[in-house]
Amino acid sequence: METQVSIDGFIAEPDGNTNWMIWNWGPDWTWDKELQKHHTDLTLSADSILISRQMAEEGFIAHWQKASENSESPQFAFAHHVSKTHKVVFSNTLTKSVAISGGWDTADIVSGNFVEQINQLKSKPGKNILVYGGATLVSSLIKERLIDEFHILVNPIALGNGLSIFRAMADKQNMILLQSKSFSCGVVLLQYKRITN
Amino acid sequence: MRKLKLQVQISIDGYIAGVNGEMDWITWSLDNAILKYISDLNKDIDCILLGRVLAEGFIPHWKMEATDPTKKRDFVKEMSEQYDFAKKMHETKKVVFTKSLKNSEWENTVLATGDLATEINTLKNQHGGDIVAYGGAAFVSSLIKTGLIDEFHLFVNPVAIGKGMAIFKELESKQDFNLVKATSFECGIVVIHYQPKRN
Repeated sequence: METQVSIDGFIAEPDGNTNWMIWNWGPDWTWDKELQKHHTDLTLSADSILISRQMAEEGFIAHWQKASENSESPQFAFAHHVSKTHKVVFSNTLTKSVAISGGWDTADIVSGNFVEQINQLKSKPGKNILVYGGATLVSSLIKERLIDEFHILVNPIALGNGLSIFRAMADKQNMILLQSKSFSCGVVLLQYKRITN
Repeated sequence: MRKLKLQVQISIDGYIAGVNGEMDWITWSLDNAILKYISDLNKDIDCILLGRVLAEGFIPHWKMEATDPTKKRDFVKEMSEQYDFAKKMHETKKVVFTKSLKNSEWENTVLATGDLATEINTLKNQHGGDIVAYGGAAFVSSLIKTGLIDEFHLFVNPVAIGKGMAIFKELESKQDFNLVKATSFECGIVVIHYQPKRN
């Protein structure tokens, strides 16, 4: 999992606003080069990206297809990889007969028992599986203790209130600190491994 | 002007205590490097601010640690450093913020019962070393809201606790910070040092 949070641990304001993030996933790649590199390297280590139904419907696939058309763009390496990487949408309601922008060529729908399906996906040979959001999908993955590694990018801002991804947990989750790294833009990376009890 | 520093233990998800004040998630086995960080951070401190709730545990605890003769006689270096720390906590002037208490029954302690921002500004304008706050949640939340904290030292523990007591929830608008530095320690804690941006 890679996600951006505020100092007080929120991934978005109560209304879903994320414009306080140093990089709000938009087309402007003027943010920290070193952080871009960390982010792109992490993405390149994966051969599957887990996205929510809502993200699929809102055009995640089309967005990165379009972004990868311009090979001169600073976000090309990332966009190109995201665009061609296999996407997995977990949904019990969506089917491929529903057209989504960007199409189903690089994406599959998985339905049924959430935990079983994710575990099956993890047990297949291959590289890493990445998840960036959305909030509900990530919360469910955390609750079911299915995320093995956390890359948390702490933005230098406190929101006061917002959406949390750890709130659904029934009990606390201990982690092992793998590394922390600060970037000149003010973001701190906290990289953890989940402790399996 | 004296600086006001905040030093708190915090979970990955931003809580400084569990829903009922639990602290069982905090990493207590600290490595030498982090003990040095804490000692450096507290070196120029000559005033500790406490909320009334924390004060009731904090003050008697450090008094006991500092005045227990068996601790002083121990020649193990680590113990002696802990004793020195306890002694400092006990002997440093403490200011307890309360609306309910009328008289302080604690040593080296005065009460502050007036408006929080006014009291803090008065203290900061006095001559002296730096001022520190360690908690608790309600007091620190009010303190953050006043915008008078100069340095935030957040000790991020390697655990997410799901729910608990937050310290930024009283902010009326978003607060930007400058990252001073982040330091990771062997014990798994990352200390993130921020300065608030002031407009």
